[in-house]
Amino acid sequence: MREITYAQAIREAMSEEMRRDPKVFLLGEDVGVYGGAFGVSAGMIQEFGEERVRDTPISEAAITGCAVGAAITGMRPIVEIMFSDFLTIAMDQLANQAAKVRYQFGGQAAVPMVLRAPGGSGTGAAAQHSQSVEAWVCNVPGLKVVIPSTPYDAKGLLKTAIRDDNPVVFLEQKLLYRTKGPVPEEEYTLPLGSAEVKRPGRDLSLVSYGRMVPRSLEVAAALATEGIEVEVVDIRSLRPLDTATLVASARKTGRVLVVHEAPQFGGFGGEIAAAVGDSEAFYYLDAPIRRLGAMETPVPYNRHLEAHVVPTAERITAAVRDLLK
Amino acid sequence: MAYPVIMPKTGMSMEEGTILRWLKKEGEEVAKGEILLEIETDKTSMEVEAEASGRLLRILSKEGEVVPVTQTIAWIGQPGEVLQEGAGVAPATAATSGPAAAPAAAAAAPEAAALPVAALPPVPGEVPATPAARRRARELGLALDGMSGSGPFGAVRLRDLAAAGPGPQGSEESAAGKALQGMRKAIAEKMVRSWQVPSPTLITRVDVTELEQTRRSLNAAGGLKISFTDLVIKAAAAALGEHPRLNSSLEGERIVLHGQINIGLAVALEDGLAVPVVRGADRLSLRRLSETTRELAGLAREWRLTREQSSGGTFTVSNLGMYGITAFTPLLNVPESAILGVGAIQEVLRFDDQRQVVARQVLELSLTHDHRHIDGAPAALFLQAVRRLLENPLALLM
Repeated sequence: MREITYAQAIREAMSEEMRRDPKVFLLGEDVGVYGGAFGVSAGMIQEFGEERVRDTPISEAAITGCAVGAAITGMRPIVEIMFSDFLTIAMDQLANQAAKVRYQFGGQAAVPMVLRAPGGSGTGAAAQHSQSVEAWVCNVPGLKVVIPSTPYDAKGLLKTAIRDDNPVVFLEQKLLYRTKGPVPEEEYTLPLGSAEVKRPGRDLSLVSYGRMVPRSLEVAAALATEGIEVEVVDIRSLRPLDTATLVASARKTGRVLVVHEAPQFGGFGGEIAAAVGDSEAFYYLDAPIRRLGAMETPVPYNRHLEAHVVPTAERITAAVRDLLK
Repeated sequence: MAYPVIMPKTGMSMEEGTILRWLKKEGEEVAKGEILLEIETDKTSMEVEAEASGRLLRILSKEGEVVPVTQTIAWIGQPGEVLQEGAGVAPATAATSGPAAAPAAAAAAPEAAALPVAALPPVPGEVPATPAARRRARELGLALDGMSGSGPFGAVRLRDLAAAGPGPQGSEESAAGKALQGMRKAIAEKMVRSWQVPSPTLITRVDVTELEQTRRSLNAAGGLKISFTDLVIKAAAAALGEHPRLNSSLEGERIVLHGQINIGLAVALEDGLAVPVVRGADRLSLRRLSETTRELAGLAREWRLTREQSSGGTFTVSNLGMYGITAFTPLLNVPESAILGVGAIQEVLRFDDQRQVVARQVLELSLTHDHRHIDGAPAALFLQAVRRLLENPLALLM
């Protein structure tokens, strides 16, 4: 199968959906002529024109508000927020409008929009351009939240998100944009709310998402040489959450380690831990459920500190060993 | 603020020390300068003084443990303080906010993932255990009372219940040997109780030539998987119906005849033994009985028997024939009064009715019985009944 990058996969998903449905359009800062801050929409303005690939002023509130209005009136907008950190400025439109319109108007209006935004550290972009903000949006009923870890998942999940009649926050991973993976030429979609076991194992369930999935897989491969079989579960979609796959894995291994890049305290890992602890899997646990997230600090600019504050392969490995001790 | 007690480095070459004895218990008050514990290095033993006053909140390293130098072995502080296990770092309060504090916070909380340890006294009468260990203990019918586990806070974990269970790790062994615990300990205690019962073993030889042919043709014709053990259980169950005394228990001064015939089947595990029970074995068809024993043996090997499935037996069958054992002296599965051992099938030359030499298949049955209330003759009559059934397959199948 051909291999393409995570960024290409996202571009393909958008382009295919725009060809399929004239209601789909893209708007955001520098998404047109410049091709997006990370080049995700490169070339799209040439194919679809300025009407459907719209460069906007620097106002995340205005961009998101436009998208909410367009969605209510029947369009299917895709918003690109240049850095997910700037969701703060779009938050009123997202949390108070997009997430609630359908509910408050008794289903008479829907908001079929996707808000794409790259997150994560590792690019030397400092504290205001490096955050992982999924927990901020996961506490809002009415929003769906997706974080893909591979090109294949990114394409299949984004196409489904665009076709969804509800607002979906699609959090891309800056450091994964250039990673390659197999993506078929033919059309496919992936359902939201379906986790995937990326590597089976019997000793411990390492539950993760986004950029920490490839890192977890590296750790699992290294530990396998010592006979420690770590099962890596990529939840892919945080809302809705595929609890069944989590529970099945935890039941099988009896040990759960949750790894994410966002700060540990108040992070989504707590929701995963609670989902396992509040299930049949509880009775199969042979160790406490452990979480591993970023340290209690803004993301540092210094590149050594920046790499240090998120879960490193060493700390993931140590946590696995500790749980198996 | 809590103060860590570390394994001191008492000499340039010292890399680790052994905790000999704690002179203070968790929860006790200690004063600075008081002797807290005794340690032993490869050269000498010595006393370690408390370097702070307060309460001994938690002892992290037990007596006999070998600990690298500078590792925290205990905490001294005030009651109710929340401890954070780290490499000798005093517990940090919640990280301060503000950009200026960021690098400091990053440095101070590198192991934010380490579980905070609350310095709480143990709950009387409660044994800390993981949910999985509790579940398995229920299934094995084991009580956790008095058990001390290998997990954090002394929690009982799966491996403590079954040293050779199918857990991810093997049992903990050392030069000093392996702890007798869990199922192994339960078996050890039961065998000692069994040994105290005067219980001889009778051995008889059974001609199973026809039975083996019948078994093969039944399996071939009916798509069944009837094992030899199934046939022995079937025969024993039928014979127990005629000899109810063998299906009884001596309880104190009373001989209790059991209404139901529940036959236990000894199943070997890696370092243990399970005896799943076929209930009402005398009333099951051979097909049903065979399905039941296969299912139960499978569950037993996966350590998944429920308490219901592994208790309530009234008689036990143990087959060592697959190991080439011809006869043996099984020990009673107390409080049951008899156990039947099954040996290997052997090809022998025998005289037939016309005194012609013929090749036959035979095996030996070994019956151990509780001689306190069952004498040799009634036990022999029972064994004879089992033999007759096995030598006459049609009667067995009726």
